[in-house]
Amino acid sequence: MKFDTIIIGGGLSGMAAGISLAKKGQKCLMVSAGQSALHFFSGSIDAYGCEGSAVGSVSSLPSCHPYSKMGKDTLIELTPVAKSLLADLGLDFVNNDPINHYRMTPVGLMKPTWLTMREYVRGSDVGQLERWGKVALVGIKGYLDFNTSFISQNLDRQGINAVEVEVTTPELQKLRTNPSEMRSTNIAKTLVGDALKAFAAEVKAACPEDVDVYLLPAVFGIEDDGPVKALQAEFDKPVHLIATMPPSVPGIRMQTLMRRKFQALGGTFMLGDAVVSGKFEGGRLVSVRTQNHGDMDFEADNFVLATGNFMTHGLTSDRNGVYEAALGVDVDYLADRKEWTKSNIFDDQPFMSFGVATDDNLHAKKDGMVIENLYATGSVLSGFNGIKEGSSTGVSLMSGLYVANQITKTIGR
Amino acid sequence: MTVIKNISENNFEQCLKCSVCTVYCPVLAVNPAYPGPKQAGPDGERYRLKDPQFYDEALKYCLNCKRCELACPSGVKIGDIIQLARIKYSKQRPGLREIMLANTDIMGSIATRMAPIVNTSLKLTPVKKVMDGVLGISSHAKFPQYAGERFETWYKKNAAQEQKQYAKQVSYFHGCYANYNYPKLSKDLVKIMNAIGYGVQLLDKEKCCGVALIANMQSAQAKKQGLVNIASIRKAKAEGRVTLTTSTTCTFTMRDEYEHLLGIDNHDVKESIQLATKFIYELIERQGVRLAFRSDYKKRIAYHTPCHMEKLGWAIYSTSLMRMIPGVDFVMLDSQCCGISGTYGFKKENYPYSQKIGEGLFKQIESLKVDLVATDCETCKWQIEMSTTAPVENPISIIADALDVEATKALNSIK
Repeated sequence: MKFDTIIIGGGLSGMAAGISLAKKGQKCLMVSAGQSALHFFSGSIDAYGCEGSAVGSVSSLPSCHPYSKMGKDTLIELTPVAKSLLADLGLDFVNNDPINHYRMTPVGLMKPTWLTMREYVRGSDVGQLERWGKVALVGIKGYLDFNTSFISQNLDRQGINAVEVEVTTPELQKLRTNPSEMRSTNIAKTLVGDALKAFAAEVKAACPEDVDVYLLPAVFGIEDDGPVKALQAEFDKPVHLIATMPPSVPGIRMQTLMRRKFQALGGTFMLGDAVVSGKFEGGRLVSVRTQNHGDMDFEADNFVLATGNFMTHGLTSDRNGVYEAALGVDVDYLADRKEWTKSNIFDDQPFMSFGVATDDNLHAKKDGMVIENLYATGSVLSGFNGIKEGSSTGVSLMSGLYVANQITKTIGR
Repeated sequence: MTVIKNISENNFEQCLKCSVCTVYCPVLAVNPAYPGPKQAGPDGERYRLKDPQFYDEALKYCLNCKRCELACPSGVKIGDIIQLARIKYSKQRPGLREIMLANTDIMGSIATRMAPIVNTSLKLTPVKKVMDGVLGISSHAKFPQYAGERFETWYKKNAAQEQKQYAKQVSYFHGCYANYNYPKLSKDLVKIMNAIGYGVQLLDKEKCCGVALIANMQSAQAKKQGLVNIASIRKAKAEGRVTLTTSTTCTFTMRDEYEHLLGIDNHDVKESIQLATKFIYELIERQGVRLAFRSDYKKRIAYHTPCHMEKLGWAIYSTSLMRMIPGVDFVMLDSQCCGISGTYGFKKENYPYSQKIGEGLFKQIESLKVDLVATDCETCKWQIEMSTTAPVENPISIIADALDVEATKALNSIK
């Protein structure tokens, strides 16, 4: 079966590449072994977790970093492309370009970020929240992935005194029949239409009348942001959301919208299948085979490897080494196993920067040789610690777009 | 150095507790009595291994759609863990209803002989009331019609002789539905295969694949039937014939569930159980087989991916074939469970949930204003026809209807 481009991996990076290429009229196949890390999405796309300008910090990064490989000028060029891709999906992200702003973590701490969904709590400068006046922090009874006391303690440290309230409705009580399933996504599926209105009424009843702003967990709108807007319309004061522990409702929304867009553009999406081998010939990848399709060769002019790192099994390891799981391409890692980890868990863990070896155009390598039609993007790349840096979503999005551009340039050549 | 490998059954120790499976469980979204795939699967399994008393009969609400397995980023066989736990630990025994619903072979043999009476009486309100009240079969569910003549009977009378003239041969596992309820589907397959130069043979012995038996706590009987089917498929393979199927559920059951749930060794014949659309697609791609279509076939068709098709990963073959028909305006529906899951939606206690699960799909179908819905699973077909105004056909029937037989024969030099 023949395609223009085959994308291995269906997360943020693969989707960014796939949507961009499908928009250019390419016939694309995307193979996704299970759902992606977007299910852990914070509500923000972090470019680089620093004060000030993220792009300004690129020049200080080592040459092995994916941002260094793509280059500062290219990143600046791709910035409006990234924003319009998100806007086209109906995702409303706000920014404070070129300066980072701050997002709130599920425990109420502030972290620097680049783009944040409009409904989320944001801080404008040096991690300080707006002066809101009287704040109501609303929890949902039985929902354990949103800890209001942690959040209120951290709000308190920033000089904000929040009133903690806890609400429920008969619909939510029904959901609690199964305490272990009182999760963000099940709540989001319940809180729509009349159930959402009933919930809003409960919130108003439970909060003091003179509240200036309501803070709620981000458990609204799994398919689109309709329920978020409907909720906000129920109140005459601002309603802001705070990220919850996973699964992330806005992340799933983003994943769904991206997948739909990709399919609407003619892309073929295969979920629950995994690429298991590739046929390399003369410095090119000719075709791949998958778990579900036996001896069917999926051929393409170009391939994108966007399988993520250890968490999503794009990378695997044993006592002898670190491997790329789908195609067995080259991986950058430290030979001495003792150097893979550091004893303090909060240190920059070396294994987090292991990943697929690429040239400066993000072409993957196999047996030391550059594969000219195979690109690696996102968390599978080596040379950066996305968690420590606060850069994983940024690298995923930008490298996906970068690679789509590279491939587009080769068309018609 | 000894490397210790993870050898846990069904990969259950690979579970990271990320909860992604719970997002995509169609049952959990509508029925809070179901513990959900994570709790029912790998989480519960840890407890059940310690003490079988931890088994929860609420696992019966699992549809076995395997959408949890598709979603799992860690390759945990969540659906298999749940079904195996049901087989191993459940103390519930099948009642009359479970026996009637699950033994499609026996029911089909009786019903086809008395088709006019059975078809009429299944629609009568008093009969429905009795079935609802006494048996617990929902009076809202519409039963598929039985055909007056089984496919096998028709085949032996009208087709068997002619099939021998073709140089190339395949076997066909028709399944219960295409035998008892809708022989047209089987005849359509014969029509297509003949047009591209293949004769179609019945298997030596064919039994119901057993999917309904597994779902209704009769896995020992399912295994007996499975062994018969695999032996027949093996014999066909030895004689040089691949076995084609037209139902995704039968296909999935024989290829995967036999091995994973019933412990039937089918590794040597797995690849010779082929969904007909996949087989035909591969002939086109690899062997230059060509199909010619009628110019007067014009239809807007939406494709629904059955859960077991999603798990097989083969929807692309059925959809690619339909897209080859010039007069087809093709729409892909969002992949979501229709809610029927074989016999599940026929049970009185499941019927409302079954409808609620399918709600999104039904709405999408109605909004698209299509002439036909295409799907490779007969029970999805019943559910969609019962719940929407759209008629539903198997892609094989669509291809057969659109096919220009004479032109196809000419293209492939078949006399």
